[in-house]
Parts: sequence; C-alpha cells; structure tokens
Amino acid sequence: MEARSDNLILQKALQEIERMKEVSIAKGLVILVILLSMLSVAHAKPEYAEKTGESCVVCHPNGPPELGPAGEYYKEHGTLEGYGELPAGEPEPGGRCNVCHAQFKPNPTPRDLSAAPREPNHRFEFNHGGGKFWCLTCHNPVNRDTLRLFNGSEIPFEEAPLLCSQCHGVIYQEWKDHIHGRWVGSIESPEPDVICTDCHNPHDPEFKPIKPEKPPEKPPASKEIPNYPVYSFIVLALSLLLAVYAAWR
Amino acid sequence: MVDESRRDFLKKAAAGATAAVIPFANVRIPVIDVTLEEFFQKHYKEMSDDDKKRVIERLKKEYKEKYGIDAEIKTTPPKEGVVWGYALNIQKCIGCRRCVYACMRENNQSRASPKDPTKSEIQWIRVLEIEKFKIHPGEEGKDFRTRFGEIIAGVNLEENEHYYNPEHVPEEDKFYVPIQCQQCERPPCVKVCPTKATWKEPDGIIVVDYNWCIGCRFCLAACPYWARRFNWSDPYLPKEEINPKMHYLGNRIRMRGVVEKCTFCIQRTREGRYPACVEACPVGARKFGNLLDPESDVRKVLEKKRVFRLKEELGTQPKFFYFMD
Repeated sequence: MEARSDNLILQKALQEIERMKEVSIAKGLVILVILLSMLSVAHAKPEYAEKTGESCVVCHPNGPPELGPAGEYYKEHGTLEGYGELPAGEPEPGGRCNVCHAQFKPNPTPRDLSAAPREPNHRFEFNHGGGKFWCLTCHNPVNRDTLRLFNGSEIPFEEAPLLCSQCHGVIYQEWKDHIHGRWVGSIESPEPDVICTDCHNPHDPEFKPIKPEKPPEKPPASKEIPNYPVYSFIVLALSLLLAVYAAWR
Repeated sequence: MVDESRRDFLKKAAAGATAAVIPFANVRIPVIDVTLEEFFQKHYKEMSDDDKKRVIERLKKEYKEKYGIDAEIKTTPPKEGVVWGYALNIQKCIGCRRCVYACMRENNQSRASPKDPTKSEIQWIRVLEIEKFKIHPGEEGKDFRTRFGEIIAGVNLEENEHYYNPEHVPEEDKFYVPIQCQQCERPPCVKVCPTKATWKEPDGIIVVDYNWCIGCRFCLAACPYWARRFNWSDPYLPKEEINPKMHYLGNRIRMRGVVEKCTFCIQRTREGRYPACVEACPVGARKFGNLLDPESDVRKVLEKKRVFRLKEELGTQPKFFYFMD
C-alpha cells in the first residue's frame, strides 16, 4: 500500500514539475519578446540617459526620434553642460523654458526651488509683491515661454509692460507719456530705449546703487603770498595818503 | 542827411575792408596770432550765407591742421514754433554723473591733460549732493519752541558738495541736483556781455559766438547758476575723443580765452534728436521737449508733476524745471 501510494505521489510530483516547466518557458518567452520589442523601439534610452543623467523628454520633447533644442545642443557639443544656463546677471526672458516645463505639471504651491533640475535658471532673490506673489502670478502655467495677464490672456515676454501695468497703472501711463523711463531717437516720435524689465528686475524691482563716475578736478589750492601783511599795510597806507591828499585839495 | 551818408560811407568802407582782406586772408597778425580773415569776421547774426560757408571752410581747415579730424560743422537755424525746455526728476536722480561724461564726449570740452597741468578738465554739468532735511524730535513740555525739535530744512546751493565720491550712489539721506545752463528767458549773462557775443536764439537757447567773445568773464560773474566755463588755455582733446559732428554755435572746438556753456546740445536738438545727457541717464530722470507743444514730454511733466525752478526769486525765468513724483 505504502509503496503504491509512494508511487502515486512521485507520479503527481513529476507531473507538477512538467507543468511548471511549461509555464516558466512560456513566461520566459513572453518576457523575452517584451524585452526585445523594447530594445528595438527605444534602444537609445539607456545609453544617452546614462550619459546625460536626464530623462528622455529633455532631448526629445515630442517623442524619441525627433530632437528638441536640447537634443540639438547635445548633438553639437557632445554634452548638455551649459545648455539652458543663462549668462550671469539678469535672467533673460527666452523661449527655452518649455524644454523642461512641458513635462511638469504646474504646481501652484509656493515652495523651495533650490532642488529643481537645471536649477541656475531659478536662483535669484525674489523680492516683489511683499510675499504675496509666486511664479505663476505672472508666468503662464500652461506655456512657460509666455506671460499671463490676470484676465487669462497670454502675452509674449516683449509685451511685459502690459503685465506690469495691471498694478502700476499710473507709472505705465507716465511711461506712455514719455515722462517715465528712457526714450531715445527723435524728439517728435521717441522710441523706448528700454522696457520695464530692462531696468527693473521683475523679481527684485528696486533700483540697486551703482558706482558713480569720478568727481570733477578740484582747483589747485591757492598759494600763500609771502609777506602778505606787509604788502597789505603798504597798500592801505598809500590809499590813506591818497585820500588825505584828495580831501586837502 | 549828413549822418545817413556817413553811415553809408562807413558801411561801404567796412564792406571794402572785408573784400580787401580776402586776398590776404591767411596772413597772420603777429602778437594776437589770428589770421586777418578771422580778425575781420562778422558777428554770427550779421553773417550772410556766403560768409557762413567761408567761415566754416576756414574752421574745417583749422581743425584738420590742429587736431587731424574731418569735422562737419553745421549752422542749422532754429525751427518755427519751438522753444526748448528741460525737466529733471530729482527724486529719480542718483548722482551717478553719467550725464556729465556723456556731455563731455558730445560737446568737445577740454580734457585734463596728463602732461600739461594748465590744460584742465571742463564740465558743463555739476551734480550737487544735498543732505535731506532732518527733523529731530525735541523734548516735549520743556519749551513750546522746542516741542517740534530742531528742524534743518531748505537748501543752500552755495554750500553743497559736488566733489562727492562714495563707493556707491545713491547714498542714504542724500539727494542729487544736477545743475547746468538753465537757459533763462531773461538771461543776466546776455545782459552783461559787452560785445553781444552771447544771445538768446528764437528757440530759447542761449548761445555764444566764440569768435566774438573777448573773454572778459562778466557773464561768469552774472550767472546765478554757475553754468558758464572759461577756457584758460587751448583745450586738450585727443583726436579719437573728438566728436566731429559740430554746430557753429554749439560744440565746435573752442579756443583759449573764450567762455562756453551748455546749449541743450544745439547740434542734436536742432536736428530733432534728444540731448546727450537725456540719452545717457540710466534712471530716465531727464526729460526734454518743446514747451509750445502740449503733447511734448516737458509739457506733460509740467501738467502732472510738482515742479520748481532754481532761484526763482531772481526773476531769470529758467526753462529748466526740476520735478518730483
């Protein structure tokens, strides 16, 4: 009895093993097929992503085969080092914000941005609006290459004065009347040399002190006349004599 | 009758003298070192167009010889219906002196010579640094006069510093008042000139005919704004720093012994361009325009801002306004 039952158990176990083998081969085949298909579709991902340390969308904003501006930059320079980093000083409004921002969901919560990727673009002192402003007060959350007015309309960076005028209406009118800001060219029809954001950093609008040009030459100190009291006494005496003479005549 | 014929004779004699001079035009008179042509040159207001052309040709040759530049000297007349006015925002001015040096580059003032100490720097704009008024609270109840404390207010233009040189401007508790020629409607400097070498043009600019100035410097003494400068020596001007676009009454290169002053950049404004100082100001504190045009920049300032003029009590009626936001 015992031997038979043992036999039965053995047979069952053998059958089980056979089944498991079939299953694992099928699973392995499926995984292999998936892997192969992935490799053939996106073979560049591991290589370039590893080299640059960035996600795919940075170089391929509209899907893998097509290169975006960052991809072109990489193709040309062999590195992403320096791309998207603006020259020192004023952050310049450009058309490159969407390269990164197209892939993020807008987050309206004020927070520390120092850990944001490609961070130098956002490193500045923010001192405008008395703590009530956040990036999206002025920047368009949908399209970062533009600005947004309070009424929801989208304007390019070049038309920033319109945005500023929402709060600084009086100054905007003065600017229009040519009595604020610098206007150059013909007196009859002057042109704005600069717009609001060229003089006032929108993130920190107050004018910063600058170094003055050198002062005018001081006139040389007058030389002391030697024997001044003696001369003055002689002149005084002579004029007195003259006066006496004139009176006497 | 007698008088008239005499005047006629004198006129003819004078004309004859000028005509007689032409063949000997380049003969130099020894002691005063000027050519005969220059010596007999007419007053600018009496020159005919031909005279002007001749004078300009002479000046061009002179500058070519002396400074090695090809100057373009204009005699653009004033426009009808234009009186220039200036407005300066003292609340915006930061005292950076950019205007002073833009003016020097534009108007060919003498630079400081590194070798010859007698050739010194001339600047038409002087920027005064003025302390903001202070109100110190006094002790209450001690005396009704000290209740409001010591009040230092008002500005004494004679006592302010224009040699200031801090690391950065503007400084706290200071404001800055640039002063240049105020182009008065009733200019005391014109009144005192013994040779009528300085006069008010129809567009309101006070100009100097440098060839008629005898260097008596009465006008320097008469000007209440310290706006005029005297050339104690021939100017020192390196060739590359000369502005070749000149006007006869404006920025043409001056000579020793004559007085010069701000002309609202006559060579630019008569061509419809802003003065150099307006375009140089980094804070846009300087405004310029036609006082007779209600749409001009200056008229807009006069309409909308609080405006004052310097030393108004003297009755000189400057066309240079200072304003605040």
